[in-house]
Amino acid sequence: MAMLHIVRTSGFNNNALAQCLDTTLPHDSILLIDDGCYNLQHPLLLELLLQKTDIKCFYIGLHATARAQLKPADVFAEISLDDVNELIFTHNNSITWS
Amino acid sequence: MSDIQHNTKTVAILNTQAPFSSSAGKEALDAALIFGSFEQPTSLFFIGDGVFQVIGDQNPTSIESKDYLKTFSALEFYDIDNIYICEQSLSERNLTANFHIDNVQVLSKQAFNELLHQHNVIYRF
Repeated sequence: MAMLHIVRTSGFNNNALAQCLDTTLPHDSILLIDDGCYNLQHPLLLELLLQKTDIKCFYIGLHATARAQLKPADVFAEISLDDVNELIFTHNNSITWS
Repeated sequence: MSDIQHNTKTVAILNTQAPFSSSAGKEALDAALIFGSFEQPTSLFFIGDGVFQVIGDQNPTSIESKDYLKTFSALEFYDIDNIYICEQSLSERNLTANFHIDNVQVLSKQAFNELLHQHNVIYRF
């Protein structure tokens, strides 16, 4: 069962990101929105994505550029707010980490 | 007769915060009891600092804090028997399996995650 993990806060500020990464299973996806876009530079997330290639990570471009989080690593896929609905429906369930 | 098929959604309530410094624990318990009163299949998960909510010998009144932990004993009246605790979170915090509620299951991180994934709706507190 593929789960979508929606991360809304910075992993530099609280442990929601670390807990999220702890509960991921193969074929899950992570979506960074709002302050979650600060995690585009977070070492824990970068390390996990490099190790577990069956986990995809998306981020909302608008939210990232608004926060000057530019040119993230290639492991991240930029999406728009319109794509979020489709992302939710292509997963069995979702959990919001904030 | 209505053709709508009533397939019941399973609810997971994920506790991640310690009991007294925030209201998250009480709100999670309230939500569980509400779902239980509507006979919605509900499971409680405790991970991270959330495991501090279930350890025994706590004394919240000594810090003038409302003792909502007593309300955990009401869970069985609402048929909420699936209570899961993350073993790694316990050992990280050097906690023993001394709980103030009965019939809890201490699970490995993998088993805990797999079980969480099997629920339709997940609320994190």
